[in-house]
Amino acid sequence: MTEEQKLQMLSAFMDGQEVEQSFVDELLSDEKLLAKWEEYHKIGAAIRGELPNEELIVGFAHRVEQALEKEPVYINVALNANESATNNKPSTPKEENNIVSMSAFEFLRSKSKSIYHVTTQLALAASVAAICVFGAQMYSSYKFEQDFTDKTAMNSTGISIAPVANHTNNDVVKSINLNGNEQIATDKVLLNEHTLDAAQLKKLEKQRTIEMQTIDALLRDHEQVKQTVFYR
Amino acid sequence: MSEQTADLAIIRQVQQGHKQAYNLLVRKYQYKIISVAQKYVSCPNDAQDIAQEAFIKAYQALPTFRGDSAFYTWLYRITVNTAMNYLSSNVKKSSFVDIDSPEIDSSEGLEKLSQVDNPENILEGVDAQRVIVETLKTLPEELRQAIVYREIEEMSYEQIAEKMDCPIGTVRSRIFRAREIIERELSLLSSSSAK
Repeated sequence: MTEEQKLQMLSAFMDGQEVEQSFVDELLSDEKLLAKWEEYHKIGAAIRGELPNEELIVGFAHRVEQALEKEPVYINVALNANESATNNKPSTPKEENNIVSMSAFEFLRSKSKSIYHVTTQLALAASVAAICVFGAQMYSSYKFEQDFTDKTAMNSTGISIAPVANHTNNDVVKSINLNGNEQIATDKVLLNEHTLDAAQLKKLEKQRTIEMQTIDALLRDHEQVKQTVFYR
Repeated sequence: MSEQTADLAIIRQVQQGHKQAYNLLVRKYQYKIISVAQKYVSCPNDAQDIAQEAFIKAYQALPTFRGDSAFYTWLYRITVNTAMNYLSSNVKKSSFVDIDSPEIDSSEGLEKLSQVDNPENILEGVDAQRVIVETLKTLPEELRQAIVYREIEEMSYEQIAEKMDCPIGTVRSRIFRAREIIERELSLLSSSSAK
């Protein structure tokens, strides 16, 4: 490329025409081209009547450049990450010293924020699903036991459950509806005393205790996650 | 690629760690930014300081520049804010000049003064504007038209080509030649004032 072709390309580049990256790299390192870049813009400013007094311009760019030498190199990590992803190659900043990725902090913060949000949302969804599963399990096991108890009570005519449970089968249903799960468990255990042996009862009770503890823990987790997400 | 996208391409370079690319923006916008600063302060030194501070601030904030607005619009706002801050802080300060101030003794200050108050520089400044405008008038019609469409009307090469009924390559060549002729006259002025 001749000198004139380079200058013509420079003129086109300053007017927004597309040029090759290699030319931009050359422009950055060629002081003569940089001086031309400045002069062409000076001409433009003068034609538009925007040229300030020369005494203000002389050496101004040079002074700013000197002041910039004290400044670190700022790298937009987010941009570079995107560029690397699209180009499928790592970015290679030219400056080797004094590099500060100011936006790296912002980038990581925003990334960690989004990760945090996704995690909490997943945790929330998982705990709700787990509660539903355990709830369904509890309900079905209760249903099964209730049916079993009803059938036993109906089949074993002559054996009254009243002296042990101190209430009739209807009373049991009533007490279930009014008093909640724990009461249900107690009542059913009392009812089942007639049909289950001690070991089975103990096993059943232990199983229930574990289930209740799991549900309690899940509910606590769920509350905690809810508070973190909604009241943060 | 518009001028705005050309700026964005340079900004991308800076954001990727090519610090030197910022010099292109400084050299491009220094005239406009100094002119803006001059509207707020009467002292040329102050206008220079404001403009310099604005460029440094813009550089520091460049990683956060998203390109939603044009770079110049963003830089202009920074300059205006810097000028306003400068004015408000100057109101608080007392108006007397301390002759024992270390700034007066500093070589940097002296260097600045010599650059600003040098009568040759002032004359050259007046002459530069005059030379550019006069050379523009003497340019061949097609060159003058092309550069005026570009610099004053801010038309793209495509628009100029349509307007002048010629290929884009011709527009590109005409604008370049116009700039070269004016620039040659400017360098003649610089060399004659240096003697």
